[in-house]
Amino acid sequence: MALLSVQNLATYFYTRNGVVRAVNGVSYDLEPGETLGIVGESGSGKSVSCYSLLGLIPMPPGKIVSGTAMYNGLDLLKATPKQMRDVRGSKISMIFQDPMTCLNPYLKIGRQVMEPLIEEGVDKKIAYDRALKALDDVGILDPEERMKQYPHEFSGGMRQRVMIAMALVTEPDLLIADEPTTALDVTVQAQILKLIAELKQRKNTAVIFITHDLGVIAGIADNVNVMYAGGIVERGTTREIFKQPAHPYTQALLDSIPSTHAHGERLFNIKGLPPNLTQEITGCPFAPRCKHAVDACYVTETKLANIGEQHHTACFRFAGGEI
Amino acid sequence: MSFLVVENLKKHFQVKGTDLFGRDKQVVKAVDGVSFRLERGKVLGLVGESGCGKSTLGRTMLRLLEPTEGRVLIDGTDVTTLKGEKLRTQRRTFQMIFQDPYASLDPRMTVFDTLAEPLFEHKLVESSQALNRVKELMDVVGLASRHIRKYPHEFSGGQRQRIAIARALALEPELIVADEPVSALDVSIQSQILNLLSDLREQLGLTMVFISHDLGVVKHVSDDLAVMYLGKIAEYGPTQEVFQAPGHPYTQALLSAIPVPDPDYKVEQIELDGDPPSPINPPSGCRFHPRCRYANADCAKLEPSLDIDSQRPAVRVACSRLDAVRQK
Repeated sequence: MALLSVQNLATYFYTRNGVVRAVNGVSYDLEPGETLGIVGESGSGKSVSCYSLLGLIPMPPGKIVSGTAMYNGLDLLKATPKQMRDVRGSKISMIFQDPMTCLNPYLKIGRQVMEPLIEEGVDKKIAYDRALKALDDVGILDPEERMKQYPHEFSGGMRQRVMIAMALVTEPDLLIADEPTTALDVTVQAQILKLIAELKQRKNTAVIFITHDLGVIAGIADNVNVMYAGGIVERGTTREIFKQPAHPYTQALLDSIPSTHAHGERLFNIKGLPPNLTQEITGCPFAPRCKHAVDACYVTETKLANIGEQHHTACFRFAGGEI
Repeated sequence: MSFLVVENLKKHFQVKGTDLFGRDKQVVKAVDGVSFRLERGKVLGLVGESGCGKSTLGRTMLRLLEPTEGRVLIDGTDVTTLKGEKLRTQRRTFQMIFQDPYASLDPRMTVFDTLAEPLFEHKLVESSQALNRVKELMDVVGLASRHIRKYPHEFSGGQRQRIAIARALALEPELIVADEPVSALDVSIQSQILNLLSDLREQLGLTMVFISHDLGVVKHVSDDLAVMYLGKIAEYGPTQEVFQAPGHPYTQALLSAIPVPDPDYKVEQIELDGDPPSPINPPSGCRFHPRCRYANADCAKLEPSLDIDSQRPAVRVACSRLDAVRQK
């Protein structure tokens, strides 16, 4: 049985400039222990779709207009604040991109790592021991001393480790990581990715990994959702997405990466810009930028179609074997 | 003679005041003795972790920061000693592109104002011709001239970076230092800007220093590569050769950490422990030795010089145990 089942999630923002359809009909299942990569460019809805699950969307202007997200028999989208508090931080944890803005500069590290446990009602002494072990697990040397220090005494990579320790101290079933390594150097990024993979293996935690870096996804994810303009345009195993991409957007994205090209070779360009999400989109949102687009693409409503056991594409021309 | 010659360039920053224990001022050696040469029309990629001094090096080379020591020769002219009007005139030949096009453009200036300012400043055009020249520049970087009266906030990130590039090109420079020019952009936009830069380089014969932490991008655009660690160059040579067989243990670790967009690609990652040490108090001897898996007792004492690699004559490596590193 799926750990998390998201059906038809839609989150809109009601702004002065109109309604922004940030997430518009996203559905997927996540199995226990699975690592799901969500890729997409800025504004594709990858972060908003995950924030919606944990009630982290500012309302107003945001509003979840439709959908369900079943987790252990509880619909996260309709959970009461009390129910959400029980899930958030203890069953489902989150790591954010910038560890400096997520740690409280006034509180000692130890207190911050213990907080989710104390919130759960764990005894203070036990919480201390578990926090100590969590910091040790993420490779922080001399954790006893480090627990007495403040965030400014830690480097960027170390702070990100603290964030991971905080997220994992309650042994959650699901970890949502939103661009956790984007602000870090490659060498530190490699350390953090390895750490997440190890912890996941040891505790069988499911991970949703949001990133725009396809290289990172290739190394860590089992399955991938490719998002564009608020919807999933392709879903499949990591191998399928990288080896047999079945949506023109995925193909274009892969073709834009410099490291897949010979030195000095021209990079593929996706012409134009992503659509304005305040306007109603008819047909395929990628059609105006797609080199395979035909007249039918502008009028036919897109939906994910099976083209393999786990491989889905929203491109009807791919699904129909036309491309 | 090479087009760009940098000799023993140093930039030290005084950290103001006293430290916690009342000790005297400390010095951050952001760039600490960097030398290299670059031929006309080539692109040098400058890579390293944050805090290694790559941006400071770029800025010091162009006199946006005053060098503490050393010389920079651009086409035979020593720009480190230039003063006043002479420096101002010389600045025409070397320009900079910055990382964040949201911060580097004046929000209250239209595209026309932004691009015309350097032209007027250097008296390159009569005011009657300015409009045409600005339209020409916009055309070169692929911006439609109907946008000429718009303000930066009306553009997307990629378009803003095009404006910033057009501004750098307005003075027809020969050398451009681009500091992380595509890091703030999405992949699909990034590829547009990289293609634009490579076109411009070919059409205008530009020499470029390309600073980036993204090794995939650098591998794609650069002819030569300089790897920096704590204010010094660890390895320097033709990009292809360095990527194929990195010599310095730091270069090896850095290259092995690049995420590759191929799920079948498996490489043994060389793990570096911890973070780079502080440039206020760099380790003795070889600066990399506390994180190096090949280091021995000598590495902590002797500072290696950037020497020609006997097996790859085009490459220079600052490692005194290069032979031992190769054998393992």
